[in-house]
Amino acid sequence: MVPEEERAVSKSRKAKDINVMLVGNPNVGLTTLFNQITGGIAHKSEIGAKEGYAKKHEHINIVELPGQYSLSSYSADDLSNREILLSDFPDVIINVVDTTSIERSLYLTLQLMELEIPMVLALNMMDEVENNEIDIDIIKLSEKLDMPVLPVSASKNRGVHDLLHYAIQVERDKRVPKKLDFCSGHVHNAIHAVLHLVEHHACAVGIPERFAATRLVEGDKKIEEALKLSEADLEIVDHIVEDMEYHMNTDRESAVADMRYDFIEDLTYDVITRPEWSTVEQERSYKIDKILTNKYLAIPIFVGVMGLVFLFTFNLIGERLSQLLGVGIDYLIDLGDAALAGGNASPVLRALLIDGVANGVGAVLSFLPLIAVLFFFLSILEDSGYMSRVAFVMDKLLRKMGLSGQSIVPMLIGFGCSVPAIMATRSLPSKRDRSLTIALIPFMSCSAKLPIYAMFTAAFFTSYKALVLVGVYFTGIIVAVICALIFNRTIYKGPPVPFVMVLPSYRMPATRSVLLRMWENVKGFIKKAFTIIFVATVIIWFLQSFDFGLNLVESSETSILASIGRVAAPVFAPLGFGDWRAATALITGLSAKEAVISTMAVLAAAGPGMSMSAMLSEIFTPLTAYGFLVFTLLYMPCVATLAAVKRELGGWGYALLVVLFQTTVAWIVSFMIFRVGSLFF
Amino acid sequence: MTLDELEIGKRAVIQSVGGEGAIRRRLLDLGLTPYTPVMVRRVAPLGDPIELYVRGYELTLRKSEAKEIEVMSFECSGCGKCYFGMKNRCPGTELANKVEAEHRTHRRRKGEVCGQGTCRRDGSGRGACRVKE
Repeated sequence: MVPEEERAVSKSRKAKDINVMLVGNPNVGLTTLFNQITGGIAHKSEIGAKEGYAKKHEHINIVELPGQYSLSSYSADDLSNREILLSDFPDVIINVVDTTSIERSLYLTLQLMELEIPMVLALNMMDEVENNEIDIDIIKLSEKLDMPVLPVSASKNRGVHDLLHYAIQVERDKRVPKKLDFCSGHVHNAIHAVLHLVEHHACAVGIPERFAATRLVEGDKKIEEALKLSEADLEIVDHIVEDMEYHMNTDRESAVADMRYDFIEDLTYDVITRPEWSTVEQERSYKIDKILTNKYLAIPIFVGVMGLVFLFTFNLIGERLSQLLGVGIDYLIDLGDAALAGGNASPVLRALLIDGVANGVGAVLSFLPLIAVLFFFLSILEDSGYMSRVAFVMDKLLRKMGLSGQSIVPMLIGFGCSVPAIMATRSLPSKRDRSLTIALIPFMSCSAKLPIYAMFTAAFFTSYKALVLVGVYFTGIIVAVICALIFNRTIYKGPPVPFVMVLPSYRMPATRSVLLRMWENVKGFIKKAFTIIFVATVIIWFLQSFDFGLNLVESSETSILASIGRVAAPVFAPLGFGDWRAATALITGLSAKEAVISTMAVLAAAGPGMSMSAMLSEIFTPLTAYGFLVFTLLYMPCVATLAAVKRELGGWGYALLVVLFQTTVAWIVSFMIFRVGSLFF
Repeated sequence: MTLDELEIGKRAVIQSVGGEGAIRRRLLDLGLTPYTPVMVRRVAPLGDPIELYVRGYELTLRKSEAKEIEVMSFECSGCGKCYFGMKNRCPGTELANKVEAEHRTHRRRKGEVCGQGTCRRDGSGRGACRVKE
């Protein structure tokens, strides 16, 4: 018999989700573990954290935080993680550790233990540990840290179930890690003195006191503010720290870090024996890097790899699939059209469904394979560890533009989509670096712009297709470089940003996570096609079918849309595409770049017997078509990107600046292309 | 000598990490604390940044940052038995032993003169130096 009271507890427990936080260094397999536990299904994916329910245990909510090295406050990622961890949201922490570089991983563990949250330690990469005959006394480690320590191999799905089991056990017992006395000597005295001083303040604002004290000794301004200490208290803290610094003959930051690592060294000395000084995987990476980061080969290889990715995307795989899908979609549309015609549907409804929605959404959807293939390759490059090498190789070039090698990863992701790219800038250490990178990311041709390029190259440049595509991509990159150089000498003047990055060993990308990432993006694209694009096409169809008196128009020339387009058209006249249809397409492109193409499709369908490419060649010459492509590449980013910019840089002001800046640049560059090009063609 | 002067493949022990602000914090968080052995693995194709091997992992940083890190280089007999960062360090060299000894007795009082006789510390390197001259 279960006592009444306990039953009530277990009932209420069922009602409440248990929030399990996955925390660890970058590249320790957090995402792999998350995918193993949840089956890869995230029900909430925000910047910062990704949440999903554990397979078969819907009340267990798994939260994956972005990788971090410490709980300090110098990068945006670290700060937002810390905020989440300090809130009352987490019930239990699973600290994932790369067992092959355990010292660095345990540094974060020691900080997490101060948070007074139930915690288990997951020793990941156990398969590599076994490969290298690293001997680790797990029971002893568990005793020393006073928490469950579990060997797992996330990639091989070993030990994951036990890990979750222990995490829940620890949560149920509310077993908070004991206060480890990893400090000694003067640091110990300082921390304890500060601890007594700030106990009450910390309690009042809900920050664990031990954590608060250590952070204060380290000189963390954010915690200082959060604790609302009085002037007198602050003075005492300063005095204590000064005293410690005097006796240690070093500064506060160094003293505390040194103390932690000293404790870790003692700990690992007792529990781990490593026969060799670098692992098999590291040796292998070292050999691969002899070629991939070779003095002469590195940059050609990088250019070649990116070239291959785009070749596969546009030519070999993506394009074929796109054509197939396009044929399929057309077939479906014809079927639907016939059914509507047979079913005596009203002509207006039929026009709306077929000419408006089906053509517009269909035109966008047929590019789905291109996007899937592009993301497939980008995920492989990232998961294998090659992106980090690119950062290493390109750092010096990027520094000339006032950026660091780390900025190249978000920029390459920008070729897929600006939104995740802007989110990826969170790992950059300085604010200046982030805002500059974010300003440049939209110049990377995102995959939403692909349908536009594909449509135009098919209509105008059939024989120079590849050349024109490469030309557009490079125009974006060159414009980004020029803007960076200008920024670096004007607004973003200052010392070069630092570049410190851990190079992970090359690892075989897990098929599952690559496919999952691809699926996530494909899903987003489909969703966008049936929401934003759908609504946009309906509105466009309505505007181009009716005039201001709400009468059905004979030709779209007299429609509401034409009037709106004509107002905006003069702006684009100097660029060579002053037609109202071009202007309209550009305006709708603000909702999502694919809308440029869906708008064109709707407008073309309205004309009697006009195909899309026929309409395009009516509006554009090859030269102005190229100018138009460059304009769509460079002008203000879509709404989703702007929202991401606002979220990351905190303010519509900055987003508005981006809008003005990019549109101006787009106008100037297209103008130059048209004027200079007119001299030759 | 500073870290950027260290030759590829040569080993050294960190003495101090200079510089300031976020970058210094990050280096300390990543385990570049005094008495940690490091080795330069390679230099990037364009001559900068450099790749280090420290505490069992690879770290890249720029030469300008490496300049802020004071190191003491030592010859290694190359027995391959040592693992950087852990306490079972290279047993074959005199300097490594000296560093180790210094590490154990003076770690928390580096730079300060502490007569061996007055420093009442246990052999493990833990505990405070209670008697001050």
